[in-house]
Amino acid sequence: MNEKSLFLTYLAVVLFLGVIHSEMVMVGVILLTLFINKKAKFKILKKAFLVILFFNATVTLSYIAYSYFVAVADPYAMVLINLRAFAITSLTFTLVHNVNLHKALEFHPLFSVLYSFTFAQITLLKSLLQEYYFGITSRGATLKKQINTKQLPPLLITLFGTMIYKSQEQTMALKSRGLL
Amino acid sequence: MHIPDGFISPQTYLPAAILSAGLLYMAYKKIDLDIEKIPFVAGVSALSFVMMLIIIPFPGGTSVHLSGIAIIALLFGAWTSFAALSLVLLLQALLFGEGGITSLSVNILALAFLGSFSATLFFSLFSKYSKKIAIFIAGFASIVIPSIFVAFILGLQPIIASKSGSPLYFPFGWDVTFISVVVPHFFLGIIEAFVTLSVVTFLQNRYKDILSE
Repeated sequence: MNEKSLFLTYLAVVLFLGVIHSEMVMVGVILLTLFINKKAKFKILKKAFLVILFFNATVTLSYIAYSYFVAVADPYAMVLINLRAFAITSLTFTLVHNVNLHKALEFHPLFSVLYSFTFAQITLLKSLLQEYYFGITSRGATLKKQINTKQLPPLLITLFGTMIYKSQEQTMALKSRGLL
Repeated sequence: MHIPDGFISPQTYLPAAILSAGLLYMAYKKIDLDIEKIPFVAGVSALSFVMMLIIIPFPGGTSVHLSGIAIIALLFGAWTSFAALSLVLLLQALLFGEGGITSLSVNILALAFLGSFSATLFFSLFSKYSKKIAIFIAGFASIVIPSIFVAFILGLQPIIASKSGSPLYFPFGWDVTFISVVVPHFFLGIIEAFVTLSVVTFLQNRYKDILSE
């Protein structure tokens, strides 16, 4: 299957999982993603697990606590909800791991170009941000990943200026190659 | 504030997907994406993505990350901000699982659309009195208005999608969601307002020529 078909299959499976209310189907999809990912299965499993832990755990724990004090129709309702979230998240990470999204989005040139340029600029700005953190840490700043109000303006000048410069450069590159 | 996967029913995310797709189509028409605008919108998206990685200390020992919605909306306009932030939300969902793929359309409507437009609306309403106060209120509104929408959508789920009283998606009603979502975002909105005020004022002075183009 090519990238486009895989992307459409992914969307169809996500829609299917949204309307099915069976724990067994969700477990089946999670096992399927393990089978598809082979070598990267534990990496993707761990990533999906951390996402569920980070974003869904608060609601799950609140629901468990709530069910102790108030009579609820199904105290195990969160099992299906979390399994569905886990299955969809595992599928998403499987897609990103196995499919070249630049190619998958080729059905619409605008999406493809926007995705490529955004991805390229994010990579650039993220590395600038990281260098900035390394810079302040190497100069003896005790802060780890936090930025205080005095440190914010120079960082923003760097990010903003780089973004403007890079955008102008990309526009020139597009024009000169007659790509659009 | 991103809604994760598994909390939103298809009865909600499918109409939201149609609505957000229509609004995105309108946005790309309004921005008039041409050879010069595409790299710029991509750049603004990347900037807002990276701004969300910047962590600011919060009184009391914790910290918050910048949302940058009002900053982007006030500097580049609501439609550009909406288009750029939608792209950011897609990338966050795909690469980090931050905000799910099924809830992407609702997140786009809440954060990208309501966040950007409430910021510019409140700015234009109050800018005739004081520009600084207008920026402050815009920053505050860009967090609180989307949080009210998110609380409404989450609280709607047990009503429209449950089986014999058992929730199939988000389990709590409006009595819980409005308190648990809106109240913390009210305080976050105040911090965001201060950050928006300092960053927008600073960048507008520094890049006056570029931003006026």
